[in-house]
This record gives sequence, structure tokens and C-alpha cells, in this order.
Amino acid sequence: MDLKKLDIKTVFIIILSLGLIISFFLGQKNKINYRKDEIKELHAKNDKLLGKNDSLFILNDKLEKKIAKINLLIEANNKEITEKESQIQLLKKRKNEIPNHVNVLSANGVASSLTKYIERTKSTISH
Amino acid sequence: MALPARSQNISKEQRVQSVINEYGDTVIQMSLSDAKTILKSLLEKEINDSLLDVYTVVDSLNKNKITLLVDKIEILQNEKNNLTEIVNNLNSIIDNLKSENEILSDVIKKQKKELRKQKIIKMIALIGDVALPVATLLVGISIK
Repeated sequence: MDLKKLDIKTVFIIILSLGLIISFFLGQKNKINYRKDEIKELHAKNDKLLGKNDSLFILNDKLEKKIAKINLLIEANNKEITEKESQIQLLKKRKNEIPNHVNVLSANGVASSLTKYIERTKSTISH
Repeated sequence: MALPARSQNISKEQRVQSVINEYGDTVIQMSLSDAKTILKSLLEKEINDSLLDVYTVVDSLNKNKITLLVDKIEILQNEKNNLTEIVNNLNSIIDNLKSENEILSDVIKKQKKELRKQKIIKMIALIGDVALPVATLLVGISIK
């Protein structure tokens, strides 16, 4: 085949064809990697972590309920302690009043108080 | 017949004396102030006994309170550990989202680059599409 006999139209057609083929191959080469698998993997990891967090939140809710119960018990306990402390204060007050009370007693009053004490003690022992 | 009351104690220095009365009963006798001292001690002892009982109850209540507080501390510790784990998990999620963001940014960058390349190719193709037929026509005319 004599290349000199090729007319200009044929040359241009050949150039266009070559351009078409080259652009086709370049287009194939430049395919973008969307890294979908990596993103999918990260989504799966996040879903797993969110699931774990949900379980922990449920667990903490249960613990909060337990704490609320304990707080109620502590409150009741404190109330009882306050009551007992006021009893202690009352007893201490009564104890401090004893000397004054006894000092003003007459002989009959002393005898009566001692009798009452002995009766109280005996009844306690018999019980 | 009842015996006449008389002291059974030889020493008169003793503050408390025992005597046998006319009915034969042994009677302990002492001064009023001594009797008051004894009465004070007895009444105070009675109150002290009551105080001891109340203090025992308060002690057991305080022990109960301590047990409850220890339980509460343990639960709070567990809650704190869970919250720490939640925070760690959230930090991991943030890291994963950052990684995803980086990947997506990289993909967008590549897409932009590709888009620019495609635009250039498109332009070249367009120019070629116009220029080549025109050139062919011009050359054909000049040959004739």
C-alpha cells in the first residue's frame, strides 16, 4: 500500500479514529474509586458502637432506678435517726433536770420516788 | 410481841444504819440528803439505760446507712464506668465519621479532577469536530 497515495480525507479519518480509540482507553483508565467498601465498614462499626451505647444507656437507667430506691431508704433511715436524736436530746434534758427535781423533794417525796423506782425495776425484771 | 426499835450498828459514824422496828422488820435509815443522792443516782441510771438503748438503735441505723451508702457508691461507680465507655464509643464514632469524611473529601477531589479532565477532553473533541471537517474541506478545495 502506497502511503503517498492516501488523500487528506483518509488521513483525517484515520486521525479521528485514533483519537476515538485513545479517548476510549483513557476513559476506561480513569475510573474513580468511590471506596464504598471502606465507608460501608465504617458505617457498620458505628452502628455496632451505637448499639453498645444503647445497651449501656438501658443499663444506666436500671442503675438510676436502684439509686432512687437506695435514696428513699437513706431518707427513711435519716428520718429515724433524727427522731432518735430528738429522743436523746429529751432524755439528756430529763437527766439534767433530775438534780433540781430531787433537791426540792420532801422526805415523803423521796420515799415515794424510791418506791416508784423499785416498783418499776421489779416489774421490768418480772417481765 | 414486837421488839423495841434499836440500832444494830455499833459505830455511830456510819451514815446508813439498819434498825429493827417494833414489828421486827429490818429498816435501813439514812439522812434525807443521802437518800436524795441515791435517788438522783438511780434516776440518772434509769435515764442512762434508756439513752444506751436509743444510742444502740442509732448505731444500728448509722450502720445501715453506711451499708446503703456503700451500695450507692458501688452503683455510681458502675454508672460512671458505663458513662466512660459511652464517651469512648462516641469518640470512636466521631473518629469513624472523620475517616468517612476524609474518604468522601478524597472522592470529591478525584471527581472534581476527573470532571475537569472530562471537560478538557470534551473541549478538544468539540474543537476537533469543528476543525477537522473544516480543514478537510479547505484542503479538498485547495487540491482541486
